[in-house]
Amino acid sequence: MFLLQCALVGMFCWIGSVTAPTLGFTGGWYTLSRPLVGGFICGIIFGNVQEGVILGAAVQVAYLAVVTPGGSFPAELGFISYPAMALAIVTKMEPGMAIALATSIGVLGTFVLDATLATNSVFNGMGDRAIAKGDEGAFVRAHLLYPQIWQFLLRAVPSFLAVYFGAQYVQSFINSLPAFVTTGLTALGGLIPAVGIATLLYQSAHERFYILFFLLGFVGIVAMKMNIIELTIVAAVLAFLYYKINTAGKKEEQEEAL
Amino acid sequence: MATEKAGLTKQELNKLWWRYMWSYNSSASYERFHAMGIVYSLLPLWHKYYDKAKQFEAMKRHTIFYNTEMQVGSIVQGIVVGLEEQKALGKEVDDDVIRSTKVGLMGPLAGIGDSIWVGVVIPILLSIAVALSAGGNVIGPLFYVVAYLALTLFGSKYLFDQGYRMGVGAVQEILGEKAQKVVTSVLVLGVIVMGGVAASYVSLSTPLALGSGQKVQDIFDGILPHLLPLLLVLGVWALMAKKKVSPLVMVLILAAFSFIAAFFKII
Repeated sequence: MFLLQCALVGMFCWIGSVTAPTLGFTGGWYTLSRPLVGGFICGIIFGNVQEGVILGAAVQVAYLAVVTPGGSFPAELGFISYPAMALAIVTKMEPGMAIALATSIGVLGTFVLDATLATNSVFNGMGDRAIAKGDEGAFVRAHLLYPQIWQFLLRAVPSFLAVYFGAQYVQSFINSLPAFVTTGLTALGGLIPAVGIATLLYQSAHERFYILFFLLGFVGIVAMKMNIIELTIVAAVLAFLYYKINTAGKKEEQEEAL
Repeated sequence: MATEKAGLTKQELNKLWWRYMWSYNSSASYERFHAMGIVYSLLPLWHKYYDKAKQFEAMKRHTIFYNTEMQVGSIVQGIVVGLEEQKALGKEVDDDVIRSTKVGLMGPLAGIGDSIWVGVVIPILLSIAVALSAGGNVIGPLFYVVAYLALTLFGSKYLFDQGYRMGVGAVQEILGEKAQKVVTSVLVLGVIVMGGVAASYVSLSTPLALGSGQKVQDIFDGILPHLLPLLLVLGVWALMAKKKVSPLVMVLILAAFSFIAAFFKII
């Protein structure tokens, strides 16, 4: 049973990769490989959906922003969403510990992606030769079949091994940690989401006045006790007004110019 | 006598788009990125019009480096399908036109796709989904999967059709000033929701007590509930924006802080 569950985790890490033909980026990378979705699916696989969603959401907040394997926050979300989430669920980690584990595995995963994108040139070369020879079947195999077998070996196999053989070591490692490290890790779980949110704000919200909208959202939840759906409706109304004001001002300017 | 060739039918266009969506990245490499995926996705078009020799000639012209944000970039694929169709139907379309259209558009489209779709739309959907997931509620992930797939698939198909029908002019429309204003407004929505997510997911509190036995945490709560998490987010934001601290370094700083603070029992 555990063997089969780990095999499923490995398979999802493969089909959720950025290069898998799983509806392009759309089905794989931006859906299956979001930690929230990964936590949910690993939760189903190991029969603890609620725990999976809780851990997935916690890790997801740390990775809300654009994180690219080559960027300033190197992370391979496929390895975070599957082997890392699976290990976190199997060993019943607290969110803080899960985030720490995810961050480390995510950095290691970037090496696999780098290796993939470097070695796939071989298959591109095979495609070139197939076109030169006029062999369509060989071209299709070089595009769809061989790179995916390679992907399977690079992603599914290590993910499977990490969960199947790693779970017990991770468990005993956690048990051996001194108390202050455990407390620190739990606290860290509450702090790292701040980095995910700040990264996103820093990347998208360039104007300083956006801080006011951020404060509004924060106060809406903590002081006005709104739930997220209510807050989203209020936010949508404000966004609409903002758009109206923005375009109305333009119209007057144009009229004045005339 | 040469017979007049018919253009692509609606079914054939749908098939071309669908094939594009599934597998453009299957053999991606640093050297070529989506090049071979584009060749593969256009095969049905060439099968319809060309014999073997002309088909392989056409395949060859698409094996050059190609890299864009492919979901929004489906507009380029629509334009390319239009050009390839014109060429197959016997119109004068130079190979260089097709090549330079792809090369010229992939940069701007990658810019829009990464900054708007990947940088704004996905994070907003995830923020809402994460908030809906409170307590392990499966509505959160399900909301994200359904909303994201629906928006992206309809959006990409729409852009593909626009590109096919209007050619290069279609890009002008999505690059326009009005589109920019829509994006800034959506960003307002996003930043408010992120404020809400910060309130729910960032946590920091202290067990410290003053000499009189009064808890420090109660004083903070009296000012504003979750005051410490708010200051933390604003502080991290300022450090990253002003001091250019990278996210990974920021994580390490916070890790060091939490272990030290836990050791001295102040968090």
